[in-house]
This record gives sequence, C-alpha cells and structure tokens, in this order.
Amino acid sequence: MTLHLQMVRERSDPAGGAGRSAARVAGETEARRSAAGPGRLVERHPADGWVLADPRPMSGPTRRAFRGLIRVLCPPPPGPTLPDLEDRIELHVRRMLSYMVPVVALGFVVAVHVVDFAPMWRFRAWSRLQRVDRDDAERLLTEMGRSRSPFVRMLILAVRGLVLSTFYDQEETHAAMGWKPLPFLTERIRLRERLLAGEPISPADHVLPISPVARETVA
Amino acid sequence: MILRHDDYGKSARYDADVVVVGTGAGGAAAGATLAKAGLDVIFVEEGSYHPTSSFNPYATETVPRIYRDASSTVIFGSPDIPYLEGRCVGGSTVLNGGMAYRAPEAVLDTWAKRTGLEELGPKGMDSYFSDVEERVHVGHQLEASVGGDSRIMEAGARKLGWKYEVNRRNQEACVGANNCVFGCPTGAKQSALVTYVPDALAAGARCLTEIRVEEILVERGRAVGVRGRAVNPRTRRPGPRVVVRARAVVVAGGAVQTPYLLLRHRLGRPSGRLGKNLLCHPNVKVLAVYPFDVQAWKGVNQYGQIREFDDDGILFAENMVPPGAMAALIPCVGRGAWDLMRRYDQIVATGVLVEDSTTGTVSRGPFGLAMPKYFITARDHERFVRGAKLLAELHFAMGAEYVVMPFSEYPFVRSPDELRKLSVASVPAKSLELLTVHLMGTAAMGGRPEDSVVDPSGELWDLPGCHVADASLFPTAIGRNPQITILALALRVGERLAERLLSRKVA
Repeated sequence: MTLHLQMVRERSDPAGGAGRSAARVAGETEARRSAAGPGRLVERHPADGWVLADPRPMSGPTRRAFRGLIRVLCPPPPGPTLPDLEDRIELHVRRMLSYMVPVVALGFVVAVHVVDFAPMWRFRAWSRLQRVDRDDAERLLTEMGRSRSPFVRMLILAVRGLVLSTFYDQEETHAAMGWKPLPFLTERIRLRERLLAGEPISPADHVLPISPVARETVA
Repeated sequence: MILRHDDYGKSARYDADVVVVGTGAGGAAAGATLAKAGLDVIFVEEGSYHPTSSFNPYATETVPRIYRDASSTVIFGSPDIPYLEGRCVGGSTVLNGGMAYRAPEAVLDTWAKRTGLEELGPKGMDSYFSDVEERVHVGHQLEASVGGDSRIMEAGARKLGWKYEVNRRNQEACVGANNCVFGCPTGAKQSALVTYVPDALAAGARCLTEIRVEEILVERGRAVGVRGRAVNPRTRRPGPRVVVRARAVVVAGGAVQTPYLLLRHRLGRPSGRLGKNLLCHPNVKVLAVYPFDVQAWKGVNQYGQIREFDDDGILFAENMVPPGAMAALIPCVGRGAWDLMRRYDQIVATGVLVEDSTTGTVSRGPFGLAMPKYFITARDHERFVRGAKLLAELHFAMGAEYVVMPFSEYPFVRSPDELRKLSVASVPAKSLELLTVHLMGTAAMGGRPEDSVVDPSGELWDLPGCHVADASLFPTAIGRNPQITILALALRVGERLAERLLSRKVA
C-alpha cells in the first residue's frame, strides 16, 4: 500500500529555532544515559526534561482528615515502616490531584471528608475516623470497601487506590516485599541488545518459574 | 521536530496541510501515511514526549506521565467502570499489553453488511492489516521470554482441556521485561512511539506536545484547523493559545475524547450517533495466590489467551503489573493489604474479558468533564460471574492457595467448594469490580449518513475537512484487543485523505 504520490513540499521551521524542543532535551538525555550504561536506564527520576506538577493546595482540615486515612490504609508494623510516611504519601497524592480534571480532584477531597466522618454515618462511633482506634478504623474501611452500595465503594476505591498505589511504590516497601526489579530489567535490556546484535539465545537467558515447585506444577 | 510547552511563547500559530489531533495508534498511523505521501503534517498531542530510556517500573512517576488524568477516569454506570488510556506521545500503545489481533473475519463481514461497504470486509481490509503487521513486527514471542504466570495459565488450560492460543504481539525481540503497562524499557514493544511517530517525523512531520485541543476551526462550513491551549507542566493550568491552520483536520483522541471534542460543535448530524455506540470490552481481574514463588513480574506480559469460551465472548489472559499498580486494585487495606502484597512474588494476576452485548454513550458533562456512560446487561453479569469462577477453578486446579475475586462482597475464595457456592444470584451485578482499556465505537463509520457519523473515508458527514482516525470508527464490537484494527482503519483514512489532498494540489 505504498502511495506513489510525491509532491515538492515547502516547509520551514515554525519554532524559528527558538525554544527548547522536547526532542532535543530527550536526545541529550538519551546520550547522557547511554554514557552512564544500561544500569541507569530504569532507575527513578528519568531525566527526560519532564517535571512533576506542583502539589494541589489542600486545606488544614482536609490534610488532617487525609493523614488519618493514610495511617489506617497503610499497614502497621510488622508491615514496612516509612519514616515520613504521611508526608510522602500526602505530597504525592496532592501532585496526582493536579493531573485530574479539577472537578474530579474536588470529588477526591469531598470523599476524604465523607470517609473521615464514616464512623458517625455508619453508626460506629461518635468521632471522626482520624480519632478512632486504628484497628476499628481498618475494619470499618474494609467493610465499606465490600459494601453493596456502589457509592460507598467508590469513595473507598478513590482514596485506597491513590494511597496504596503510592505506599507500595516506595523503596522501603519494595525492600520489605523482596521485590528488586532493576537487576532483572537491566539484564533484559542487555539481552535484547545482544539479540539485536545477532547473538543467539542461551539457556541462561530464559525466564522460567523460579521455584522448583512451580516448575514441577507447570511441567 | 517535537515541541513542548515552553516552545510556544505567549501564543503560537502554525500552518500545515493536515493537523492530526492525537498520536496514539490512530493518529500516528494516519499522520505517518499522510507525511510519507508528501504532505505537511502537524500532530497536536495533549501529553508529553517520553522516550524509551525514560520508562521505569515505578507507578508514582509513570502514572502521571503517561496515563490520562493520572488514571482517575471512570465510565459511569452500575457498576461504574474505571478506564485507562494513554496521554503521551504514542498514546495507549505505550501502555498496552502489545496484543496484535485482527478483527475476526465474522466481525468484518458484519461491518461490510451493516455499513454496505465491501471495503470494510475481510478482503477489503486485508492489505491494511498486512501493512500494519509488517510495520509493527507482529509475531509470536521468543520462548526465552515466557514467565511463570503464562506457564501456569497454559498448563491449567491443558489440564482442564481448554483451548489455549499463543498471542500474536507487536514486538521485535521482546525478552519479557514485563513493564508493558508502564512503557517498554527495552524498546521491544512496537508502539506508535517507536514506529509510526518516528516514521512521520522522518518524513517531515512536526509534533506539538502538551497542548489540549479545545475546538475545531470552522470556516464556511469546513474544518480549517484547531485551536488549543498549551498546558503548563508545573501548574497544569492552560497557558499559551496555539492555533494550527490546515487544509484538513484528523481527530484521533480516542473513543471518549474524540466525541467530546466534536460534540462541542454539535456535530454528528443527521444520524445523531456521535457519542453513541460506546463499546468498552470490560474486564475483571482475578488474582491467585500460590504457595510457591512464581515471580510473575518476570516474563512477557501476556503470552497467550484461553479461547475455550470464545463463542460466549469470554477470554482469559494473564496480566501481571508492578506492585504500585496492583495495590490500587486489591480489595483490602492496612494489615489485610500487606498480607496480600507481601506475597507479590506468589501472585498471578489474570483477567476475564467479556465482549460487549450493549453500548453506552459519551457526552459533554459540566466543568470540562467527559461523561462516558455504560450499563452492563444481565447477560454480561452472568458471563462475568461464570468467567471469574472458571478462571478461579483453573487456579485451584494448578494449586492456588486462595483467589481474590472481582466481587466486592465476596473478595476471597479459599477452596473449590467455596467457589461453587458463588452464583449469579449471590453476586449482584453492581458488586462486580470492572475495569476497561478498550474503548471503541463512538463515531462509527458507515455508508449512509442516517446511521453513521463518518463516511467511508473517515470524514464527518456534516463537517467537510474533518476526519476521524481512531477506535471511535468501529461500527460494532470486535471482541479482541483493538490495536491492530485501529491502525489498519487509520492507514485507510490516511491513504484516502492523502489521495484527495494531493489530487487537489496537482489540480
């Protein structure tokens, strides 16, 4: 399906050479990172010239309610402990809110308050979630996440999704889980480079179920 | 040339032969075809440009970078259905699983009959599919790339006597890094980012990133360009106004954003079908926890699909994701969440996809909100419950300790006996935890203006010069991963438009 239609085109550089194009920034980044070796390729904070958005402002009462929720949603010891857990998660979630349609971000803030008042409207306690015993609060949120009401579930889904996604993306959490993706990804990047260079695959290059039991199961 | 927010100054104006809104599968393929034909093409992309070297397995960085609205997008219904789509150069092809299936022949036959367009049938589409498959290297995986979760699914299907089909994927020497949903860090996945977009740029196209198109410029009843605002990456507020004037406009923002933009101009007459016919190929997740390490995060994202229940429109597939993404889907918090997530190495994430039996709508809501709506049917409900139970049965047959079900009221099943107790009666439809990544059909192509939105060349019946080239074009559901069909239709739209514009230029 080749189009055999060629026309002489007139084209000029619309940017007039001004500005710093994304391609140029990315090109410089690629060169820098290539020089650093493949081990640096999949690390955090890729330098492609892109910046995370500023955190969306959050009022004092909302922050207090949200931090109460963070404490309940994240596991207590013996789960992984993060020294600045609430700061880190709050900051990141506020950044994520900046990417949402403003009315959706506002909906999240409303959800935080509605969930904070849940012990009252679920007739569990005459105090807000941020002041309820942690174990009782966890039970309440778990129950709400299994509610028949889609509205109640959506409230929990919104806050749970953002908080847990952030918590389970921290280095300390990965260490506690024993998840080390970088050596594997780096090795795969190198393997692909070798394959494209014409090298054959060796048995050691195969991804296989690691545990002998797993290997036996699928045999 | 790829430009971004700080290149636009206080305002900017560009001229081209064609302006293409969006750089996903549809926009990239149509734009590359037009640029290679010798036309001056400008892409306008809402997201940013992220090269292969910037991809990593971290949700906190990846989700805001490449997912629309940091993945806070939802289809309203009962139950609501969260949906995911790309917002970056390459669009959703950057974050999909890389499945490369043609629409089945029976579906294409239906398209041909329903639209009266023979060219949408299997024979008419064949050459486009072949071109796409060649360009994006469609083929089977290297054996070396297959991981434990895929082996479990394959062996489970064999054990239960179910049909298992090895996937065709758009990949070149994929070695199973399994970071598909966060961008392929090896460059093996042949997304639009590494195929059609570079093709277009090499042919002279320009790409303006970080601009949200707000309206189509219409003069004397004809589309003559687009107007948008650059988005400040720090504040996320609209910044400089950018205008691109062109002889033709191609809208390829996907099945939600395309009708959202076009509905601003009250288009879609006379059929009134614009924004109707939303298809979303919904799915549910089934997580199985095994008593041994599987390390499903190593190995190709989706090696195969279980096709035993094809006749009922039900597919099973594995789909492991990094912990930051998985944690957003689990039905527990605090200690309960840790008890599950600490066994990440032992989890196999799988899904049940159900072919649409109904359609939804997309409309313009208040406060700049796109409002997709979709209500599953009783038949869908029955298929989801049955499908999730069958998939759980496979996991138990393979030795799973327990299974996390997509039913909010019954999230954990610990034995086949418990599983048998679940039924359509005990699992209400509104308790299903649905998700989707395949949105289609809201600006359907057809042969008659009274029942379609665009004509056979992809041009809107009621706005000359304005074309659609994305999943919105699908007249009906296809029951397969839609990427290859989108690419093929977009090539066709691009080719027709190129022929038309070049013949006018010569004249």
